[in-house]
Amino acid sequence: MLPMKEMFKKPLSLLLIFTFFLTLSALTDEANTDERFNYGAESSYIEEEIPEIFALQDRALQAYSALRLAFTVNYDGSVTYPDDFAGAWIENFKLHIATTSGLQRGNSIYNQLLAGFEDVVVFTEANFSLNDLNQIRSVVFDVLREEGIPAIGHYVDVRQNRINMSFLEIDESNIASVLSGEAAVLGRMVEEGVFADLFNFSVGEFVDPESVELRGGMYLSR
Amino acid sequence: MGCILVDEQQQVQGTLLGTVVSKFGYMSGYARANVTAQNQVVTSSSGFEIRGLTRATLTQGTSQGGDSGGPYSLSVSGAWRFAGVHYGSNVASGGNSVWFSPHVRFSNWFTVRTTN
Repeated sequence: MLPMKEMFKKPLSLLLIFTFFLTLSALTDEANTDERFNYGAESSYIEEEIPEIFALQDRALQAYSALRLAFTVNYDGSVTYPDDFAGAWIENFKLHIATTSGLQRGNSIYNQLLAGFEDVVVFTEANFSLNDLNQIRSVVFDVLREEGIPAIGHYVDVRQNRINMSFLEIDESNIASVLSGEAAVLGRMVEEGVFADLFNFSVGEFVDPESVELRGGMYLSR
Repeated sequence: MGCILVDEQQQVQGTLLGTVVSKFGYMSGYARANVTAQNQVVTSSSGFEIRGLTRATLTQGTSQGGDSGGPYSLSVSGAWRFAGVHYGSNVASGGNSVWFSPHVRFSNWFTVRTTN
């Protein structure tokens, strides 16, 4: 009769060899999985050829990259702008920059940052800075929410230098709530009569997240 | 669900209003869109308030369920740059707007891996 140690030696060795190959196989699979994410002919998530339209906006985008040096990106990804900055956009492949300092900006930080891009930069004058507009829309949105008024979205339209606020339905009570003293923190602007000029009101909609769920083997997309 | 890996040199910080961007969706493939609003606050169909989204209008291609998580990119100086991640659209309800999270909104929270 074999001793106990000898009895288990062979099966244990086989088990160890099996485990080794199993681990090796798993590692190889993982490596193959990572290869999915390489830019390969079969797995590219970007187009192989760059469409011509991108070349046309290229200089304006480079100018915007230079301009962004004047911005501060906060931890949550929000951006703090220079006090007189009112927004930027691309139109006809030129970078338009709105400032509250208008033509008085002189030898400002913009001119320094955008040296060499003068041919693609257009300055325009605006009444309200982007920092102010962002602050106002957040305050108004919060006030409206506390009052149970269903504003469902908002953003700053930098071209118009106004706040766009959307509701599921527009009725006079919604607009009156925004423009009246309910948003009392902004009372000074209401009194000065500029508050109404700050807003565009529009009918908005809920946004559908286009995720995919697998439930019980059923493929559900929404 | 799409996925893209990029390094620090392959991204853009913020997508400007009026910029043309390229979208890749796992279900709908390539599309092209024009940025129409930045830093937008929207309410999702589940009632959640989502901040910091960029809205774009589709000019080519489409968007559909399953595209969420797919990359947006644009070309700067002849090379593709990562611009953001797809969130949703209003295509199913007849619209042609898409919304994505620009990279600047999550660059502090996610470590981006390089492909090579």
